[in-house]
Amino acid sequence: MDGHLDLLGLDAVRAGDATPEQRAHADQCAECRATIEGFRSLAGRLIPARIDVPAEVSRRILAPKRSWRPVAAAAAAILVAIGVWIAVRPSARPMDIVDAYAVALRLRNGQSVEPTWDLNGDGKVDGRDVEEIARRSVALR
Amino acid sequence: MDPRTDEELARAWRSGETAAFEAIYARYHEWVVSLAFRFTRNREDALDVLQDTFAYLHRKRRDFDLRSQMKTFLYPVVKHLAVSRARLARRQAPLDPKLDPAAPAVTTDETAALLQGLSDVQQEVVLMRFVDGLDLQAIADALEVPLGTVKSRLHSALDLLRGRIPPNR
Repeated sequence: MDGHLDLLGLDAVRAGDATPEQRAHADQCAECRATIEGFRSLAGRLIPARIDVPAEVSRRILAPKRSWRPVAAAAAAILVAIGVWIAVRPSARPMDIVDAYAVALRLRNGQSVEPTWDLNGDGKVDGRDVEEIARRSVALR
Repeated sequence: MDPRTDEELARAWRSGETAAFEAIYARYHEWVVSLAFRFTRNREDALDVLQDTFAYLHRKRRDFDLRSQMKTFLYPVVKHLAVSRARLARRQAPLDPKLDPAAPAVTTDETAALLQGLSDVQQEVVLMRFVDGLDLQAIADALEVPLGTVKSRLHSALDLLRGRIPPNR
């Protein structure tokens, strides 16, 4: 090797990733060794910030994490169910006065009536629901 | 202390071994929080970045393929998260408009004095080399710049730093 190590060569020796030729030169050259020692000293004075990590932070980071996928799937299923319910619930149906008549007729004849006609939510379908159907069928919207 | 290499830990973590994640955390969390502080200049923000970094690592588990040094992989993640947080903090409390959150903050008075006169990019390369102990290729990979650019920045920085070595050494 001719002459001294260049700056990157000097730093490579300091950092320990020099080539064998660079190391060999540094071993023999007092001037290069002095500069390398100088860089080593500078590096030792560049002190990184020391931040203590609270145990609670570490615990939070290392706590088993729940995957979002099952949660998202459950949320999606609930949304679909709500959508379906909204679409088929009696109040969303277009109601006609004929429905009121048909339900009233079935009630009077003692026939079964779809529980979805329980519009007032009292757990049974009766005359009050018939009145509600009638009211909704003629309501101005 | 887990004796496995970073590559082995990364593989184990990818296959779902929680202990591997804990080992990666044990090995790198101090460096991550210190690096985060370099950019945020704020302890609480640095701790938040630490959490965000490992949360990111957690989300990336299935695709976690370590093709470089762990620090090279983590550096841009930490920097991005820290700079974003610092920018947000600055928008909320614009104390010093001269501060550039993308520039590494020197952390002690002595470090500040040593690096005085170096540009932001020179300081960043010097800190990555001298403090983080990264080799030049790792720095280039982490910063996503050509190796020649790193060499050039480091060379000019070393030229300045050489003048600060006490003459009696």
